[in-house]
Amino acid sequence: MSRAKGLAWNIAAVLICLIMLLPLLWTLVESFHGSNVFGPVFTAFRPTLANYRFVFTRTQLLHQFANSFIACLAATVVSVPVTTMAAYGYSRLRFRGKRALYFGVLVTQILPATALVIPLYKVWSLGHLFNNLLALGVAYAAFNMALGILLVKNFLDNLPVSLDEAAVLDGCSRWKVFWFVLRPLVTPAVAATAVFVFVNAWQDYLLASSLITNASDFTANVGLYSFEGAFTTNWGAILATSVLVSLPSVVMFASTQRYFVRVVSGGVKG
Amino acid sequence: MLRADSREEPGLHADQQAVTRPAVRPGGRRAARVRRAASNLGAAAAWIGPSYLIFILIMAFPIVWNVVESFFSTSYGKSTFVGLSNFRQIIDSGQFYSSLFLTLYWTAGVFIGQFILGLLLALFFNRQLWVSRFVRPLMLLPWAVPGIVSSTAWVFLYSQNGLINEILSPFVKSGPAWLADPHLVMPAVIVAGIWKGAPFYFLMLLAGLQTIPAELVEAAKLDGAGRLKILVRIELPYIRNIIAVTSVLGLIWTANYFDGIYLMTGGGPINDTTTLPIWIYNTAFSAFNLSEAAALSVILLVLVLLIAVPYLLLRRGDDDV
Amino acid sequence: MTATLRRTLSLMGAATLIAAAAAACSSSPSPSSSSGTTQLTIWSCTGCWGTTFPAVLNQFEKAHRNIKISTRAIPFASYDTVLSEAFAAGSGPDIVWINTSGDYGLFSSKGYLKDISGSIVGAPNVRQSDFYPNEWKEVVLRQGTFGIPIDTGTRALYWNKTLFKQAHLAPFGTTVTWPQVLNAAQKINALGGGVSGFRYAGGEKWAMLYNNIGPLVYEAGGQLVNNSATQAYATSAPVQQAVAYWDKLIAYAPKADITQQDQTVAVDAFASNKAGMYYNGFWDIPTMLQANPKLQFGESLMKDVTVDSNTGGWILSVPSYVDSSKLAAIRDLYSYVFAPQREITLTGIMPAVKASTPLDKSIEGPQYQLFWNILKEHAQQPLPLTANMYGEAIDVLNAVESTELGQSVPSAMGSLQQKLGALLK
Repeated sequence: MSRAKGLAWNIAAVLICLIMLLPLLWTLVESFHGSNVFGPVFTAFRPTLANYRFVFTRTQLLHQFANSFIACLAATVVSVPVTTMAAYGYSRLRFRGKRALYFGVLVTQILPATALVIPLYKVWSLGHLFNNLLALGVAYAAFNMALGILLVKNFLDNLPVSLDEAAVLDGCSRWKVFWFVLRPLVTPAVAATAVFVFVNAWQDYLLASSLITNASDFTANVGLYSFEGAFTTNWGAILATSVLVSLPSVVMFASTQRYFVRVVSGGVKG
Repeated sequence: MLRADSREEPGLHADQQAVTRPAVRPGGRRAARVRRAASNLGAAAAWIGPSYLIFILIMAFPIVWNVVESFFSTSYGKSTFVGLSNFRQIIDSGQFYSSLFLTLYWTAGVFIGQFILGLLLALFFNRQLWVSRFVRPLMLLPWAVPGIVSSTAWVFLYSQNGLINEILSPFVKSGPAWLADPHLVMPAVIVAGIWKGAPFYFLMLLAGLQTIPAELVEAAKLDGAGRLKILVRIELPYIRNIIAVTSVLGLIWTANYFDGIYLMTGGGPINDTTTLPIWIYNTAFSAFNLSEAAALSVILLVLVLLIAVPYLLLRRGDDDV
Repeated sequence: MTATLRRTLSLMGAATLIAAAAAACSSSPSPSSSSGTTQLTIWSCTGCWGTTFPAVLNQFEKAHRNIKISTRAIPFASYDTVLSEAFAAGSGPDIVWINTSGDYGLFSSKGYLKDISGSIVGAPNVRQSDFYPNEWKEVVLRQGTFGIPIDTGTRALYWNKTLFKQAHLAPFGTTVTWPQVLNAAQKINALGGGVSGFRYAGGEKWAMLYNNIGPLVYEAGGQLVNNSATQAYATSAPVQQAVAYWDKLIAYAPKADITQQDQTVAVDAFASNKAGMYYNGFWDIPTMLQANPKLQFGESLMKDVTVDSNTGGWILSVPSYVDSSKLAAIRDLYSYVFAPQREITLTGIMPAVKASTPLDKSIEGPQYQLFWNILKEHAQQPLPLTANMYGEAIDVLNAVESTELGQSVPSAMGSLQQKLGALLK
């Protein structure tokens, strides 16, 4: 990257961001509107925290946030080591059937979740796993496995085998090579995997609504959809909740941003 | 960080040699290869095993169930084998070719759009700007926002008095009802789809671009290369692996995308946006015809495999994606 | 065995143990009878049962020491999805709320619901004579009775008094004519300022059938499909008349409504005085008054005929996988909750039990009168409740949509007749 750019570029960046987020700005603005959110935006606009107050006091949202965290953290914690190790296996090992297994990883992504959720429900029913947030997290990990494997494997492929060889000559076992030499170098890919798994799991509705039937175990997204009722839809609450539900993903990414920037110590070719 | 460790495990030699030089051991090279493969299998089980265990526990039964169920017909709790009858019914229905076309149209349109938009954003943000650390996480929002919210926002934008028609009002007297017009609805939905998924490409391509050594680009500039040439000749080839990974996943995810389209149009006016995933959902959860939905899933699976397999075969030489 | 493999196996073992422990701790107990206690699980959608219903269940448990009840509320957006999953997997609730628009017919014709005509029908408070005749008629199918009606689903035309005054229109009586409605829609649409004469949810097949197209067809004196599901009448004069009229009426609604799937948009527009008329059920009245307590509205019918007085309403059913050993307890529960003073708590509005009506304070008021009157009149399903009704509904919706988008009525109805014919044979 070149040296820091001046004010004009920064302003342009902010403008681009605002344009991209335009559809969501309506959401943000209307969430401060008392009711009748589909009405005119600016006439008689008196900002009010009524929707947010409702969401915080009259709903289970905070508890549902905690549930979402449990499931998404479980997904990430299971995902990261498993996919990183698998990526090492695909990148560094040669064995029969590797291509087929790797292809199989991709195949798991092809069927839409709507096709898989009915038999998955049956699996859950046989295993008595309903309302189990950790099991839900493992399901999320499974559904997002391919992304992590592909990402990390790709990064590993870019690291020359000579790095491995040097470590081996120093007397390292395969595991030590992986843990001490390669792992620090694939941090961007691992960070990206963690963020994507977390965000994908956080915004999932289909699995969460199917596999969690106890209201006290609902995740935040399910709580959000609950405002859409049979007779009436509380749009004010939906908008306020969606603003809140979107925040953790952004915070998650913001706090792990620096891992995405790869510090290249010269000579490592892509 | 590297600790000199003199302890050596029995299996290390074979693995080590796989990394460095072929072994010269009794039995000749073929035996050596077989020995390597066998011990590598053990290592493979250790490294890849956990991921495959999770796959098998969670996804094996659902995928296999879909394939098996597509050959049956279930009613009143009894399943009867009907062979290819479900598939025949689907292909003979007037819907099939339309949905097939719409799925391809949607996938191509959204994929290309997401890639280009993501690339443009990545190129722009591939410079040091102090607002980046605030702006980049916000750019994730279209993708991180719940489907119901983005769909509602876009439906609102596309409504006759919505923002889009308002912007167009100096040029067009009365804007169309975008989501109600059979010819405009698919492009409209594709635009919303591009918007939603572009952050993924933005992040991935940006991360890739940032690995390019600055010297390479500087050298090219000194040689007098224009911006476009730098992009096409240097930057994109440098990150072609990231592009490949992102593209494969992106294509698959786009092909089986369901949420946004359904929430915006429910399949469109008269099935004008009924892609295969939408058709699967309606068949399973509106018509409650699970066997036919399974058959549709198999068709989607075959369709995506037909696209993915040639791609993977083409990259045979590069030793996988 | 390499160190890696050993390490991996021990990690996996630890993970499995943790997962198993977590599963044991937080999974739901499997509903089964043990030592004489029957465990019943009831599912409904969030906000669908009345707020006092849980208290009724508590009282039931106290009165029946050997029956334990647990309830689950599924968000409405995924209710159908989760129900299908439970039915397909053969495990889920023992008692369930089923919506009559489409769901009841489809679920029962696919064998997902238990025929309770021998086991529960006839129990105290659950006899045919306890219910409004039109309500009862809707749950009794040729193959059996698969549920007990909870509430009614009658619909009428709402008209906005404020907008009528602004447009200098004479107020509607309890009955109106087609030309009157068209004229009112036109005048109100001409008011401008974002006001529409009429609103509807054109993308929601059941709303279109039960709210709009179905009633129009009946008012024209015809039927879409005959009751025994053997013959379609798409090309008949009444159907063509109804569709042609509909196309004229929707000219005074926003074009976007053609694909609008959310009924609540029309409700909100009406409540904020942005829509002159729309067609829906009594359940919108509390919603509208909550959004706009000063709302002035009236209800009318184009004729004293309604399409199925049970839609939008709910039915209490038993899934077919439920073990027959539980039926005795379920029967007791039905008898308990369908007693008139408790039946109101099942939904809170417009109960299906005759004796509940005078007890229900929430539906007092002249605005509900029309709906009660309709209930006693002729009522019918727009499409017979068979396994094909989804396909038929989609075909009808698509045909109507194509006329809304400009295709001529005779040609659209011609192809609809062909499609329906293929489904009905």
